[in-house]
Amino acid sequence: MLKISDLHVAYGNVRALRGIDLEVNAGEIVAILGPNGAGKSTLIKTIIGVLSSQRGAIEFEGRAIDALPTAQRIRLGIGTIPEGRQLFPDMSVRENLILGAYAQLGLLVPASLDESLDRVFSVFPRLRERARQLAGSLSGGEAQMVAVGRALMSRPKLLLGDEPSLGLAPILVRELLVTISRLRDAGITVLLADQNALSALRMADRAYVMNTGRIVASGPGAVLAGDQRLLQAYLGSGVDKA
Amino acid sequence: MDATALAQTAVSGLANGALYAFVGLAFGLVSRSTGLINFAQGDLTMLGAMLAAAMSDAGAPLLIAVPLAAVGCAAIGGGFYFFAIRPSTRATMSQLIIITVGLSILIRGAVTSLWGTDPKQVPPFTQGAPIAFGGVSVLPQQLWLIGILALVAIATAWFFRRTTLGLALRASAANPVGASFVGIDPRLLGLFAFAAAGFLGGLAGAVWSPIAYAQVDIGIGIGIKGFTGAILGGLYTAFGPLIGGVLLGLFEAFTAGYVSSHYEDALIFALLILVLLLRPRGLLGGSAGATNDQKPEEILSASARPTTFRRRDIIGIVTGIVALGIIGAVLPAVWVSTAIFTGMEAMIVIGLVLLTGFSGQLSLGQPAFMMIGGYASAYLTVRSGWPPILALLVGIALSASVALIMGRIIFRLHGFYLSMASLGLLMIALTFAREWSGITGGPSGFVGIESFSLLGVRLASDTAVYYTVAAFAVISLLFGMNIARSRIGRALLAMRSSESAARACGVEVVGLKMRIFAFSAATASVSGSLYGHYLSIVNPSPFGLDATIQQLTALTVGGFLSLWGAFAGSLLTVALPQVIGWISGSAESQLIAGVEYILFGVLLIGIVMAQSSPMLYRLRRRLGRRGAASVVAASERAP
Amino acid sequence: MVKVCTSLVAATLVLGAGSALAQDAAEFKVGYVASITGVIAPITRYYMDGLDAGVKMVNDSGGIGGLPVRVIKCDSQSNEAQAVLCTKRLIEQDDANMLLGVGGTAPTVAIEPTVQAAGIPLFAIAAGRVAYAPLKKWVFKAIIGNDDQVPTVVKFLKRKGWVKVALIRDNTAFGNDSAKSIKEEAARNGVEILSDEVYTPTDTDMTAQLTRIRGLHPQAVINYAVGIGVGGLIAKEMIQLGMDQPSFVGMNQQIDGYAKNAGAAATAHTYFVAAKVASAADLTKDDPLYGPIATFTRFFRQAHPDQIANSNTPTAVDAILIAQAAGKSIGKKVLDRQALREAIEHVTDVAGLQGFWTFTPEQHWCSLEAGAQIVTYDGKNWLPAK
Repeated sequence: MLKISDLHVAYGNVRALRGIDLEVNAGEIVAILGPNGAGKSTLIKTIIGVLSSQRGAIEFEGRAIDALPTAQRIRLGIGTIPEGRQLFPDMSVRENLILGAYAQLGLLVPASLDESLDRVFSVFPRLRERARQLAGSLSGGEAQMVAVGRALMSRPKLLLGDEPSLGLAPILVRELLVTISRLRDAGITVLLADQNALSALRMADRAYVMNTGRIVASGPGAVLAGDQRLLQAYLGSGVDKA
Repeated sequence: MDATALAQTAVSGLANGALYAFVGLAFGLVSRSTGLINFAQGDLTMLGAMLAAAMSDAGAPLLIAVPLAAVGCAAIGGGFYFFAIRPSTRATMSQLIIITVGLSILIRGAVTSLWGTDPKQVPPFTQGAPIAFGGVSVLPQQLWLIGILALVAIATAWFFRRTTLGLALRASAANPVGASFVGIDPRLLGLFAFAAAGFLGGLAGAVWSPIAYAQVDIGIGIGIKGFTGAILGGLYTAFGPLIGGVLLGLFEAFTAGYVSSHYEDALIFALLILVLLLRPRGLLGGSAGATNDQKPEEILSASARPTTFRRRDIIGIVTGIVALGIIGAVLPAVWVSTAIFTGMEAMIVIGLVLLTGFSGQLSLGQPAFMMIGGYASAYLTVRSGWPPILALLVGIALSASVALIMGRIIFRLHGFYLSMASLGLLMIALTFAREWSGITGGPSGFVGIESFSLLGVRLASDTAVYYTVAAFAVISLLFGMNIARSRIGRALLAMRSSESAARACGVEVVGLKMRIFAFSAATASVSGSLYGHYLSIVNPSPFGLDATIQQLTALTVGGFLSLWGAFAGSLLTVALPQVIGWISGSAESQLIAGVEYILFGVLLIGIVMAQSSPMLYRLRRRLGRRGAASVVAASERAP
Repeated sequence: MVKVCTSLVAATLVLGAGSALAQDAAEFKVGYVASITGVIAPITRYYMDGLDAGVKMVNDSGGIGGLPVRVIKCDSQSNEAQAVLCTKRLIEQDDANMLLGVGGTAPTVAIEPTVQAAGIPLFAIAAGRVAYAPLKKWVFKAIIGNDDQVPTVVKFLKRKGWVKVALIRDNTAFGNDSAKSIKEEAARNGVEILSDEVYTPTDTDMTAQLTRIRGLHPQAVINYAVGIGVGGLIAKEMIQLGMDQPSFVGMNQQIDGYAKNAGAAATAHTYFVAAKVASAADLTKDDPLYGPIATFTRFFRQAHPDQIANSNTPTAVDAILIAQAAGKSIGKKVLDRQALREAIEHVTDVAGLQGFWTFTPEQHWCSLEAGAQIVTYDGKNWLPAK
């Protein structure tokens, strides 16, 4: 579904991605792991179009999307849970969710959006009660639900997640990962960049390990999960035992 | 208390407030979507009035003239965004604001050329006598204004809640990063915001002007009031500009009617400062507010300067002094005078480089310190017979003290709020300069100031004044460089990127800001003193908003972090009008004078756009300019 | 660095261009430091229009010292610093033989050190007395100033028995100077000024101040504004508030455009201070100023057929009329600034458009009260008031 070839991305003089080759097939959960500064976030941002690449190609469902603006990539079926969630704090939960479908909306907000909202509420029932509440006043876990829900509003085929578990209590992290695998079961492909290596690895079909802008290892999730030396070398002592 | 008079004052205040609210809404729209202050907003309002008047004079019915005028202003607003703002992707906030200053000048030049400076009348929408009820009289047009404003307010509210674009604008203001992930294109928003603000401004002008009149220079005052009202109510809130504008109108009317029309200005700005200190985000400003109002201070330009004194600094200084000496000897007379004014301006800009460039405090109040210096020199030399150098030093002491006191009050604020507070202090100072006529000579000024003299030697000729000003300018430069190249300079730069980080590293943030403020006050004071000695008169008019704009333009053009650039920027703002006038020959008419203004505006926009163009940025990077500033810049730019 | 170099190169090129334009010596150059843009611009426009016609009139009768007159203007942008730069340019670069300026009192004072240092006669067209008094060697009054207008108003008030008067004026130097003169003259003539209200010229509404004045029940209101926009607005607001007292406005408001701004107020009970030029059609042949005013009106109609001369039209003209009179005694020596100055300061009873001019070496000003009058407007013409 997603194919990345020889991707190079730089901030000014700093080269963040130095030739990334990566594939995600339909129906998979793929994890990207790596220490801080490895380039995971950069990769996610480049796929969705918030950053542009200097060299290389990104293909989605066989189509080159490098030149397309973010809105169009969303319309093609890519949704994102950004790093740090990036909600709109003084807008209501409902409005935050509606904005998830921004790329597909016309001039006015249509009534048919209620359907999509209902679907999100069925995945996250707690949000239905909080619909009119300001997003800035939510707890961490609820905010995370809004972030995921917002990404779902555009009916994505591919869901990108940039450190979605950051800042969440362990029990919430588990809930999140359960939700993600349920989404995969419902037919959404997932590409997840996360520091919570072990849990992500156990859930993932395949995984890539990044370091300083390059991919240093890849393989089935279970295999990598068992490779202690690899985990120690590239993910350091921060590897969780969850 | 006479009830009718009370009611009448209230009605007038309300009607005036409606105008401010209207203009404030336009400011709010632009600020909420782009984070910018559109300095030309008031002039767009004026343009709407002039367009409506011109079309109506040509015979068009108001039903066509008014909407067309609003649409015309929308086109200009949107077009300006498209051609000048959108391409300037690497511009800092202040550079973009100076670009809007260029637009303001351009609009006024165009209006002067097309219609001259005479006031124009727009016929009211409905003919008829003022409506009187119970001794209070309202003009039908005032009711129209209030009515249309109410409609606009409702439409705006609906727009922000129910349309995709409205939601996108709010989202972009709330969290631009999040907005980009959802596919919102900030440039489209910017275009819409500027066009809409143009429309609102033009409409406000066309609807309001039948009450008063339309004339080329009414824009700035209306803009200031509208903006003040918006800040009062909360610039980034939906209804803040509305409420704030109306409250401002009422406050203004009651102050003029019941307290004192002489101190009206001072009281309005005192109110503003009070509100800013107590409710920094305005009366309606929320708690978990938008992140816009705490935008990182200035994305720094890439032309960094090293932060230690280097050999090339010494070479530069020596070369500079020699060059100044030679210039003084060979320049023809009229250019010596230009050099004198340039030097006086440069002294102020040097202070601004440290205050605004290094410390990130955008102060609009420097002319107040010029006044303190000017009046101190005037009073002490003329009334008390003191030697000018002593009077100058007293001026410095006074200015620095005032800076320290005022700084303690207003430096709790940040960003635009700090700037508005400093502007408020300037307005208050201007009011006192006008009203304390015993000391200052009032609006007519303090006359009879003799030339500067040192140790009994009168420095009266232009050449002598030039060397005096050059000497003080070099001294200011040396002081400035000393600060910039030292530990203090590095601390300032650190503080600029992140105050909390700097504080954590042990930088005494507040004390530092105070000292830099005092320094900038001192250099401004010297400039003011020398100004008084050169022109033989000190009066409030050269020290108003125009002066501040000129200083900021010089700062921006010369480069925020560049002490040397202070001279280049000052030369441009002082000499350019003369150069343009020189090229066009004897300004025969207002048509030509207007064209000169247009040229100035275009040049200003062009220069700032060129400075911030991506091409130039890449060129500079390739030349390998490094230093603290570029590191800071990189960290601020990283998405 | 690049910026400084570019500026210097530009400056040098321009200088070169400037000096290449050699000046023709066989003419008399008048340098006009004019506020063509900025706050003083609206009224400068009328000064310039009048000056056009005035120059033609003077050239038609022999010019100054037998030499044709040419006016060179520089826009001082109503700004003191630019006024100084303009002055220096007109003196150094354009080789002016005499100067005219500036429209605002403060810029006029600001250029005086330059004028003094260069030794060139300056005709001050600023209404504030401080522009030309106390005596300055090279500066001469050339305008109906505050000290001419105000006694005219106050004496009229006294004559009509309107001795309880309110004042509303702007907070600029103009308003301030006028207020000071008015209060002094009123005190001298037994007229009581009940209140002194101010506003900023860019204010959009003065009803608050007017409501306050209304409560004091004055017999007349003096409305001194620096621009006809604001002046007209105040007049309209007075009507809106039901104030029907007579109001007095300054000479700078005596313009046709005022009527457009003030609407019905202009004809209803407004008295204007005016120069005799304003009611030129009503001047009789035995009026001592008839001659010059009639001639001027003829030239003005040719130059500006769509305009009616108002009190501000002749303001810049008397300067060259005085210079012409001075030049009669010294001929081509007018090109010698010192000689010109001495000739000017000995003119006696020169008939200008604003009155009769007499200077002495001790006094470079004179009273023009005789040239000021009170007029009213009937919708078409300006008529001397009864």
